[in-house]
Amino acid sequence: MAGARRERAIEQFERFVTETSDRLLRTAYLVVWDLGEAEDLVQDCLSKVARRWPRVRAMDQPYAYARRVLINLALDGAVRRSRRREEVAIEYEPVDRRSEADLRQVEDAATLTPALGQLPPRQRAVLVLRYFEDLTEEQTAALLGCSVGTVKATTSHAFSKLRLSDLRPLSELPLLKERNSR
Amino acid sequence: MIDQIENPLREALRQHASQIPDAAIARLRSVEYHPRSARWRTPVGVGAGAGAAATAATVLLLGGSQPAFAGWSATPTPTAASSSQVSAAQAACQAHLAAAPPAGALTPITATGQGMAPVLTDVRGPYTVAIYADGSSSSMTCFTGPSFTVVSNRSSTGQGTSVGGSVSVAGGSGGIASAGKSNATSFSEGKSVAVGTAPADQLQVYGAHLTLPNGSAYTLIEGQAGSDVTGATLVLDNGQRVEARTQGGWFEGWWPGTATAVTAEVTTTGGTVTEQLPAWTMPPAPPGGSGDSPGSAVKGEA
Repeated sequence: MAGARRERAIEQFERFVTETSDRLLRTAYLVVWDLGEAEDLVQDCLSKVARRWPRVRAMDQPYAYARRVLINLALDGAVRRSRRREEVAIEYEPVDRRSEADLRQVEDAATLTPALGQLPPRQRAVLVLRYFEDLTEEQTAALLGCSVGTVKATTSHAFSKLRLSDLRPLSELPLLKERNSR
Repeated sequence: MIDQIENPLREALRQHASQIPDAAIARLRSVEYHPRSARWRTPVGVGAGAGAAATAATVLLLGGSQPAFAGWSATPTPTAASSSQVSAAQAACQAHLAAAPPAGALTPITATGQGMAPVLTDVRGPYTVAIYADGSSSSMTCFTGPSFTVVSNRSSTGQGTSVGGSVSVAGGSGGIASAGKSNATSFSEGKSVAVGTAPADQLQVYGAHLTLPNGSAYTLIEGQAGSDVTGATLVLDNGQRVEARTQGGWFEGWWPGTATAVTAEVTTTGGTVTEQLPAWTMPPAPPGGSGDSPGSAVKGEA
C-alpha cells in the first residue's frame, strides 16, 4: 500500500514538473534576466517542492506555492549575484527630457525590453508578477511578504525608470558607450 | 486608470520569455526530483558548453524504487496533440547527442538539424520515442520521458543483420553534460528479421529489452515498414496488444516490462495479416530486468 501511494505521489509530481517547468522557467528568466541562473533556480525550486510534495499536492494551488519558492530563491540570491557581477544595475540620468506625450509614443515592447534588463531584480519581480503572471497588487504583496503600498510604490518607480530609458538607445548612454569602447 | 506603459510592458515580457529555447525546458524536465527520497546525490557541476546553463544541479536518487512508466498507453497519442512534448523531446535528444553521442554514432544529429533527420515520432502519454535516420541502413532511437533521455544507435550491413548498438542515458542528472553518469543500462538486442511476403508488405523487425538506470525495464521494437504497410499491432506473450506507430516507412512500438512480442498483425492496403515473429527477433529478457546479457552492447558512461 505504501509503495502504491509513493508511486502515485511520484506520478503526480512528475506531471506537475511537466506542466509547470515551462512557466516557472520563463518567470525565473524574466526576474533574473539570465537563462543559466533561471535554470538553476527552477531546479532548486522543484527540488524544494519535491521534498514537501505530500503537503504541496494537497494545496489548492501547488503552482502558486512553487512560484513563491521560486521568487524567494531569486530575490534571496539577487544580492549575492550582484556582488559577484561586474555589471550591477546601472543607474543613469536621461540626457534630455521630453514631454509625457513624446514618452508615451516611444513606449513599445522593443524599447522596453533592454530597459527591463537594467531594473533591479526586486522591481523586475514586481513587474513580472503583475504583468506576466497577472497577479493583483494584493496577491503580489502577499507573495513578496510586503504591503500593497510597497507594491504600488515599487511599480511606480519601475515605470519611471522604464520611461526614462526610452529616451535613447541604451548603447548610446554614456556609461555603456564608455564600457563598449574599452 | 490603466497606465500607458502596461500593455507594451506585457508584450515586452511575453516576447522576452518566448526566447527561451525548448532545450532549456527539456533539460529541466529531464532532472529527477522524486519526492521524499532518502538520499541526495552530490550536486553535479555542468559546464557552460552546448548551452547547458545548469551549474549546480541537485538531483534525487530513486532510493531503490522502480517507478512504472506512468501514463503509458498501448495506443500512440496523436503527435499533433503533443507538439510541445515532441519539440521538447527532440530538443533533449539533439542536446544529448551533441554532448554525449553514443559510441559508434554514425552521423551525430546537430542542433541545426543536419545529419540524421527524424523519421518517426511516437508519443505515449508523457513518453516520446523519436527515430532518426540518415537515409542509409543506420538509425538512432531516442526515448525521452519526464526524467530521462535514452539514445540508442544501430547500424546494419545488410538486410536482416544487426551489427551494433549502444546506449547512452541522460537521467537523474542536472544536465546533459553528466549524461549517463555511473549507471549502466542493460541493452539486450535481437536480430533484425523480415516479416511478410514481399518487401512492400514487410516489416523489418528489430527488438531490444532495455532497462533504465532506475531499474525500470521496457521493451522496444522498431524497424522499417514496406510501402504498403499502413499499420501494425503487436501481440505480446502476456496477451497484451500494443498498437505500433507507423510513419514514413518506419514503424515502432514499446511497452513497459520484459514481455516479448510473438505476433504482428500487419495492415496493408490489401488487408490485415497475422505474422509470427521468429523467436530470434528478440532475445530473452535480461535476468531480473537489468544487467548485461550475452551479445548485448552496453555503454555505461563514466
